[in-house]
Amino acid sequence: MKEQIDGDKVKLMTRMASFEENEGKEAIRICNYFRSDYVCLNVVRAIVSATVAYFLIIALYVYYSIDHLLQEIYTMDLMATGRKLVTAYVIFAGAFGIIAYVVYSFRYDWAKKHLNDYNYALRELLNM
Amino acid sequence: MNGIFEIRDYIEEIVSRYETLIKAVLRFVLALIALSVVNSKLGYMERLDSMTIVVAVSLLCALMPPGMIVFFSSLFVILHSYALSLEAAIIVLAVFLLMFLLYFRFTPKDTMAVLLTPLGFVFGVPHVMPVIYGLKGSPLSALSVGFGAVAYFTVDFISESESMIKGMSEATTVERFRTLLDGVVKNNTMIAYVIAFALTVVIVSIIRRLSFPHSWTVAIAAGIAVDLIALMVLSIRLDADISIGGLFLGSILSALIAFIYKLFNFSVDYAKTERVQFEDDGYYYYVKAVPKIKSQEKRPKRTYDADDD
Repeated sequence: MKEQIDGDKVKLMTRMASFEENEGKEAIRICNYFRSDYVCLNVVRAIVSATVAYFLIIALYVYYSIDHLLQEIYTMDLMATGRKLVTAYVIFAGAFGIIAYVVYSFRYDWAKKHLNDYNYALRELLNM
Repeated sequence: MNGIFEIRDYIEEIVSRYETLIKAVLRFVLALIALSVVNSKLGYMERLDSMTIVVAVSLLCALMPPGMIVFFSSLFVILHSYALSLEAAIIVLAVFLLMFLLYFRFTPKDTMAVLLTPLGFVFGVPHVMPVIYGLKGSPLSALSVGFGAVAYFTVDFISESESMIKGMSEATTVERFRTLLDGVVKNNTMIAYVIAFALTVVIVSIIRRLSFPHSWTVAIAAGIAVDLIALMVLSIRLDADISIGGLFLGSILSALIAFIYKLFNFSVDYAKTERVQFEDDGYYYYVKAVPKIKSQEKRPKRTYDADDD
């Protein structure tokens, strides 16, 4: 006697198993926050990370080229260099902030949607 | 063949029964190996280069999340580099900080790649990491494995430049810093490995997601082939220091390990594939059900009832 596959159960269990095995635990953690809190917190963290990374890169560059910079410092347009550095920082941190906003907004929406689907599927499976 | 699946099922049963204990032991062993490797490669700080410290930190790692092994290994590398020279410590610290600030904070699950990829290099099977990360991760894991290769070559360069750094006692701090940074950044062998590993992860990840029979096997074979070819081409183009003999041997061993990984994670019997189709309000479902291979012992016993006769 060939075992019959219960289509409805397979459908639900496929969805649920995939969710449980992949991002289920993470989704529950994410959904403990309000959307705006979760996204803002992570954007701020990303900008702080980008700021530290930017100054680290600048510090490494300055230390690496210190001899050259000391020779050039008297002929260098310090205001223009300062403006360039600030512009580069704003672009770098801004780009990082935007990437973080997109990534974490997407992550929250994804978690919320799938957690709702999962809860609904769980109720349905229990009623089968 | 059934014998292999019996062993696999036996191991899986033991692991699931004593999961907590086995995971703690594995964390301890991994930390022990990682810290011992760091000590044997660098080992400039005498206080850290002691088995008592290594065992004590490994025991601590056994009780903490796996990410702490990466943290303590990185700390050991930085402290040993500091004992060698301040400039080396600054460079290593900067490399690790940039990796974590710019990438791993977004994908904390992939942090272990920074530890496992260098260990792969140390044990002569570096090619296994891009294949396994391709199988278990996404194409983005290419960055994780690439950073793992950067971590290995940074530590390797610091380890090999001991005599050079000591010979530069007359040089200024800035000169030493510049020489070390050039050595770390302008390393063609590292660049070749990073590009080859990234390509391999992307190829393996794409192929194993495709819905055709034996996609995992094809993904492993394609990944090893791409890795091998890319490294051979890049070693010529970039004049990188890569041993072709070692490359072939390492690739064969890596393929074997990747197949063992597949055995535990994806062993299915394509001959018994079933296809079912159903629909609900929003979707049509085309489900391909491929049964997992079980050993003879674990197959459910068939019971007959009166209707079967």
